[in-house]
Amino acid sequence: MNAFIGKILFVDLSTGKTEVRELTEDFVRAFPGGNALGARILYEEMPANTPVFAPESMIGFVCGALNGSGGFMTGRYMVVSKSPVTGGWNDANSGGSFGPALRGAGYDALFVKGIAEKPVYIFIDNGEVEIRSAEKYWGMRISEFEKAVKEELGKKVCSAAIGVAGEQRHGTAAIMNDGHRAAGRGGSGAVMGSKNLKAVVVSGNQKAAIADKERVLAINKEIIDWQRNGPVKDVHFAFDNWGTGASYEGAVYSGDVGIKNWAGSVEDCSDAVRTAPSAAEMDKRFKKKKYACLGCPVGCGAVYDLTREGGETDDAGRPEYETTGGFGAMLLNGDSYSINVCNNWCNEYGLDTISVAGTIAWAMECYTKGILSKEELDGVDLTWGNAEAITEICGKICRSEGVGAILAEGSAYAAKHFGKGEDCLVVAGGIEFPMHDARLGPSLARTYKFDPTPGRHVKGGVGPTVGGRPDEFKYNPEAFLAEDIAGTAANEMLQAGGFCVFTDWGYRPGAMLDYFNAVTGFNLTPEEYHTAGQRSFMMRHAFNLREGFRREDTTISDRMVGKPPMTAGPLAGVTMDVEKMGDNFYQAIGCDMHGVPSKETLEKLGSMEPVIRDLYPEA
Amino acid sequence: MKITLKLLCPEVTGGLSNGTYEVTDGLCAAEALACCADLPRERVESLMYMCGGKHIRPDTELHDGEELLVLRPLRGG
Repeated sequence: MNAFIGKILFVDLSTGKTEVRELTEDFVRAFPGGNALGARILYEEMPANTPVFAPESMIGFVCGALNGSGGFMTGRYMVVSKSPVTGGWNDANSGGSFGPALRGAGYDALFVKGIAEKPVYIFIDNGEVEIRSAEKYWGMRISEFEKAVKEELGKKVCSAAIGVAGEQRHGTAAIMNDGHRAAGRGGSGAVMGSKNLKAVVVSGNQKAAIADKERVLAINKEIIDWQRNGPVKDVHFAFDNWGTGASYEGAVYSGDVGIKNWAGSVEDCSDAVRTAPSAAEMDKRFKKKKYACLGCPVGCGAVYDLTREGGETDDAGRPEYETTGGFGAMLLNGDSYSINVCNNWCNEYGLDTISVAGTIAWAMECYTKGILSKEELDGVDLTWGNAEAITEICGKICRSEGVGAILAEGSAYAAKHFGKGEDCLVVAGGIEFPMHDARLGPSLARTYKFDPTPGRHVKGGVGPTVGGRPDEFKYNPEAFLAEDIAGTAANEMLQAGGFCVFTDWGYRPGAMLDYFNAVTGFNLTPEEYHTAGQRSFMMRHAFNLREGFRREDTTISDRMVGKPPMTAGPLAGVTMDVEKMGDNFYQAIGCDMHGVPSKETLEKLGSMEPVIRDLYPEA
Repeated sequence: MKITLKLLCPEVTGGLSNGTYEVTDGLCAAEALACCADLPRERVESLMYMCGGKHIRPDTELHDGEELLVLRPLRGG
C-alpha cells in the first residue's frame, strides 16, 4: 500500500496493553487519514455517550495521508476526540514535524483509551511501544519538557505534549508540538490530561511507499514556480516575510478581526491598536529568525526574542494572526509586548490562544459593565486595553491560579460558574470564535454553527476569503451554497491529507488532487475526491448525531450574526439569517431539517455501514 | 482628481507608499491603484478596497478627495 505504513496502534493506559491493527487499502481509500480516519475509528471504537474524561473515552493522533511523502505543505496531523467544551466531536490539527515523525515511528495513527494511575508518556520508536513514567515531567512547561525529553531519549525524538492546562483538564487546553505549534481548539489537551498522558514521543526512520515519486518531485517544482513567479507571488512574499500576522492591520479596518468582544469596530481602535500588533511592526522589535514546518517552502513561522525588551525568553513563537487579533483588537490592546507575553505563556502552558483571548474579552465586557466585580477577578482591573491587566489575567489562566482556573475552562463555563454574563457570551456550541467576523463573511456563520466542530474558520466551504467577495454574493445564501458544499468537501480532504490550509493560495489549481494521487496511487477522479470529502464530513457529523445532537442543540450567539446589527463601522447594518443557510446546507447534503441524513444519502456516500446501522436499525 | 492611498497589505506596494496621488477623473478603485503603482491588472482586481469606512468593489468609481484603503484578500491564520 502506498502513502500509509499500514498499521494503527491502540494503547489502553488502564491496562497497559497495546494492539496493532492492519489498515487495508479499501479502508484508507474511504477514510484517507486525519479527521476522516479518526472519525471512523472513534465512531466504531468509542461507545456512544461516553463521558469525555471516562476511561472509555478515546483520543487519537492521526497522520494526514501525505505526511512524510515529500510533497510540499503536507505535514499536518490531526488530534481527534470528544470535546470537553462542546460535548461533541472534536478535531484539531497542527503542523511542525510531529505528523511525519509519527509515521516515521511506524504507525499511521495512535488511539489511546484508559487512564494511567500516574503520569505517563507513550514512547514509540520504530514500531516498539513503551508506556513510561512522566512523573518527573508533570508540571513542566512545554519548552522545559521538550528539552528534558530530548536529553533523555536523544535529539531526534519529536513529541506532542500538554502543559499545565492539559494536566488540569481545562477546556482551553491545547496539545503542543515543536515548541510553538498547537492542536489548539476544543480542549483536546484536557482529554490527554484526563488520561494522565503527558506526551506522545516518537522516533524512527520508517517510510511509506510513494506511488509516483517522480510526479511528486515534479509537482514540487510547479509549486515553487507558482508561489515565486505566479499570480500569488505577493501573497507568498507576505507569508514568507511576516506570516499570518500580515493580515492584522487590514483586518482591523475591514471588520474581519474581532474588536471589543465583537461589539466594536475600527472606530473604537486607537492608532496603536490598529498598527502596533501587525507582524510587520512587531518583527522590527522582536524577530530573531524565521522557520518553516517540515516540507514547507513558505515558512510562515518566526522566532521572537522577547529578552530585547526584558522578556523571559529569546525563543518565543511569533504570534499568529488569530493570536494577535485575539489579544490585540479584541481587547482594544495596542501594547504588542503584552500580546507576545500572553502568546508565549499560552504556548508554554499549553492553551488555545483563540479561546483564552475570547474568554478574557468576555470577562472584560462583564467587568466594564459591572457584571463581574474586581474582587471576582482577583483584584485585576480588567478594563479595555489595559495591557498590564491582560497580562496578569492571562498569567492566572495559564498557571491555573485563582479566577484563572475558572476562566481557563472558557467563557461559557465561566458564565455558568458565576451565574451571570450570558449576554456577553459570543460563542457557537459553547466555544469562542476565531478572528473572522461572520458579519463580513456570512458563510462563516453557516460553518460556525453547523460544522461538527462549531466555531472554526478552517472548516466549511467558502472560508474567511468570502469577506472580500461582492455583497450580492456573500450576503445571499443561495449564491454561495454551491461553493460552500464544494469547499466543505475540499476542506475535509485537505485535512485528511495533512495539507496546510494555506495551500488555498500556495498550490496551483488542481495540485492537491494531483499530489494526493501521486502519493497514494488511488487515481481518484475529482468526483471521487469530492465524495470522499463529503463522507468525511458525514462521519464527523454522525459522531455528533449518535451523541444525541440535533440541529437545535448547537446555538450561535446573536451578536455574531448581526442581531441586532452594529450601528457603526464597516459592518454597520449587517444582519443575517443563519437558519436559512442551515436549511440550504442540510438540504444540499441530503439531511433532513434536524440534520439527520437519509439512508439513501449514506448509501450513496458508501462505507457508512455503522452509521446506517445506528440511524436506521430496521434496515 | 486627488485621492489618498492607504496601503494595508505590506506586500502590495508596487513601488507605492501611503500618500495623496493625482489620477484621472472617473477612475475606479482598481484603475486608480493600477495607475499609481506598478501592478498588473489582475492583481489590483483581486485586492479588497474600502472607501468612506465601507467596503467597495474594485470597479467602484472614486471621487476627488476620497481616501482609498487597499487591503489584501482575506486569509485564515
